[in-house]
Amino acid sequence: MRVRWIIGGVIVLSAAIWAFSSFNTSLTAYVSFAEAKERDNRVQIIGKVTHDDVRYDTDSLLLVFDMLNDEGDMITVVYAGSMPGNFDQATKVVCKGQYRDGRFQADELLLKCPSKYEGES
Amino acid sequence: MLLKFGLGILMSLAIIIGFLYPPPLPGQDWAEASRIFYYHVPMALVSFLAFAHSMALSVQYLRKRSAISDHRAALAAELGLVFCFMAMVTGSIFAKVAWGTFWNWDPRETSILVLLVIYGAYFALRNAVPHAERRAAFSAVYSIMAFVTVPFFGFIVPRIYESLHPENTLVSEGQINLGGYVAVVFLMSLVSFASIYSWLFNIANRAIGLEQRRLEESYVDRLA
Repeated sequence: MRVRWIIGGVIVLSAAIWAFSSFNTSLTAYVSFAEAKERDNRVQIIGKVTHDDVRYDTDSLLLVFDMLNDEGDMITVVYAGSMPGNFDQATKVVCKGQYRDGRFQADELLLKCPSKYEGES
Repeated sequence: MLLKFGLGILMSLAIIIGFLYPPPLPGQDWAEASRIFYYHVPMALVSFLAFAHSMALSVQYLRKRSAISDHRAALAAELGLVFCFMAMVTGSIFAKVAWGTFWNWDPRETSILVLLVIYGAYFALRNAVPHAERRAAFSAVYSIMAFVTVPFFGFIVPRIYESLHPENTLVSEGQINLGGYVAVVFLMSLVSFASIYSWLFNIANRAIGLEQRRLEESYVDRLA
């Protein structure tokens, strides 16, 4: 009886590990900064906004900022469009676009916002 | 009867307080929309609970081989699928408001979709095997295997990949992360959704029992 449970457990666990590892690369739609620099098609990148150097030109509607990812890479993003209202509070952003001329030219921004459900306003 | 009234009152209170008090995530342009948190998160948690319930009933089937456990396991998975789907829909609405798009293949979105497909396949499997006992045995094993993936797709995947989805919203470093009335409304909503699950389960379970008895009686009639 006990042997059967152990064998069953091992089968279940190895199936899970196999399923997980085969999903591993396809589970995320975001590419690394290094990959974004090499690719010449439209990709999505995700990272933290370093808020200390955000430049926004209201006349030409150009938003320039630096992004840092988990691997510690930096990339400069240029977003052509008006700055989203809650950009200042955004911790993480997703940028969709293409790497050109040393900068990531984004045409779409998705913002992650603070997730502290405090209940005080 | 009393429980049903209690549930009605609790759920109504959760909804009313949830809408009357300030939104749980103040300071955003879309702060009002953050009230969906009271529905989105409990539904996701209850769906995981339902999948666990289905797994437990499947283990019970494999040990006792009674058809009723098999029907109950399928029922739990079915309800789990409904709650999981609702969690995905509310999440998608929330994503439209907070991130700006209904669907972006964020790891959180991909993983819940994979989970839905895994449990969708459970019903495809059930429909594909005509022989009742073999169907029950196959789907019991499948349900157990499927549940092993739930912690991965439910909790691990969105945390190891960079994602827009917030994490540690409920608990971080062993501490409850919700403040004041938000925690109260959230708990009320969670208890309500869990009760709705068990209520729905009980109603359908009664139908399973009646169906089983009808089958047995018609079998006895035929013998007589």
